[in-house]
Amino acid sequence: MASPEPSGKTLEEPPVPPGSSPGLSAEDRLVLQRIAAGDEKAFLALVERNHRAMVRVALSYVPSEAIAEEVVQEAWIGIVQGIAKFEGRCPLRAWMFRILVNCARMRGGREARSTPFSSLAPVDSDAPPSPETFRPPDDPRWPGHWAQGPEPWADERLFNAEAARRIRSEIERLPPNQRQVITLRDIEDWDSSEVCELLGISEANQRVLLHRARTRVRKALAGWARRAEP
Amino acid sequence: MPAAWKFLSPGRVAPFGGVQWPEPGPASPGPWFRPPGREVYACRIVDLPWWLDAELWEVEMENPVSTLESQLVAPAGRLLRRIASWDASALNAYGAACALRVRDLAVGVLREEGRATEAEALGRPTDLLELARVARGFSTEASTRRGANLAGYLAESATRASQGAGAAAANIAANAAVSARRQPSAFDLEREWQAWWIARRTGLRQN
Amino acid sequence: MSAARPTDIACQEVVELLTDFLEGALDRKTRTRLEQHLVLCPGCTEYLRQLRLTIGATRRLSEAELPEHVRTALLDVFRHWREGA
Repeated sequence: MASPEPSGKTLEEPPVPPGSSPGLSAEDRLVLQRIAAGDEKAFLALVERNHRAMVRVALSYVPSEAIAEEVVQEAWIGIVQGIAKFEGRCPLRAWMFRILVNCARMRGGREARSTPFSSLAPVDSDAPPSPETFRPPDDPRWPGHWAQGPEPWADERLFNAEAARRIRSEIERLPPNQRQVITLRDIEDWDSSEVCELLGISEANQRVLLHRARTRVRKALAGWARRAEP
Repeated sequence: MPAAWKFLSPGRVAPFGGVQWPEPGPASPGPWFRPPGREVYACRIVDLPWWLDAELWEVEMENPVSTLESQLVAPAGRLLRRIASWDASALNAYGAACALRVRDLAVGVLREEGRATEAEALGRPTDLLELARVARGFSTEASTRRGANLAGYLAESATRASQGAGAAAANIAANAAVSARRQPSAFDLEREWQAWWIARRTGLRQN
Repeated sequence: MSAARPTDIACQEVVELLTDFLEGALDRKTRTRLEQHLVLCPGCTEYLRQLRLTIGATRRLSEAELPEHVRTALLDVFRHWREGA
């Protein structure tokens, strides 16, 4: 595989924000030591933990998944080359994703932007669920309460491959900001502060995006997960 | 220390946080439960209707104990004993009692409005589902808003009670009281009646 | 008049607050109102349950494996760097 020179990517570490405690977590420190010493397993573990999230983030800058994969591989080259010099003034992941974002921006600027193409098959049409509705504001007894509430789910249906397929499919259909937030928070298990830092948004804004995304995924599952008629 | 109680979900599980409270011994209090970064809550008798759940426990709260609008709060608490008389049948009886209060209110309002036949019709059913069915019939037929509303509340309360959803039935009853008595204060008064129903049923004493 | 207490919240509002609730971002007063609503509302209780199930199911997507060709390519990059160092 060709190793293109990383160009224009800054490997500088950001200044430590006032009030934050600099220095790496013990875990980060250990990972860095092992990778710098050439430990393949440690490197692959770092890749496993972060690659999918990196592709997601790259996708918000470039028009296709294939190009996003290329961007991420470029970023990994930059990370590997910079890791021995990394001083640990910010968390490891924050530094890695800064490199990624720089690669993605450079690449994204050169490619024509278009709507991301979803490669997943569309979800089969289900029997439509009873629409969940609320009573109107002029209802005599219960304005704003459930008129038709959520139908109970058969929980075991949430545990199989079909549920995963449907969730993935709906996440693909989300607007990019919502897709990013739900992927990083709920799939990749990032802290909210990490997500806010990466995306440059406030905690409140992040919660709104997360809420909208989760609401849509829940609704997408509802038609299929509801208990079959006895 | 004033007596305090706590509702928990089955298995001594806190209903919203999902953490399990430690069990008391046969004759000794359980260990202090001190969730990190959080507080523990408990009820006086008047607070009980707001927090209904499957298990009722007597608890001790660690000082300082503060009184909020509808609960007590403290840095830690421990379970003393389970109130065994609060079980599924108590919950069902509670829901039914609340629904029958709504019936009384509905009958009263219909009589006020000169609708004796309908009032009598509501007085006859001995079964919650039948009561709900009859009431539902009047909730669209009654000519005045108030009468229709009371019949509607009755149908809803009786239905919830028949499903074992006592807390829902009770909330409907409190709302019905406001409509029947045309007084916002009727809500809290109905809640007080409900609190003392629970206390009488389970033998609780507030000190 | 329905909700007698001006502080009662209706289901439509509760549903919008659930992510803030799960994140621990509600002030105590609002959180208490929401919890009290859940006690008396089977519909919202079921909705929250379904939301939690959804989050749990979404979490399980992370168990998907790294594609083999990606693993191979990145291992190449690493070895290339290691030999050059």
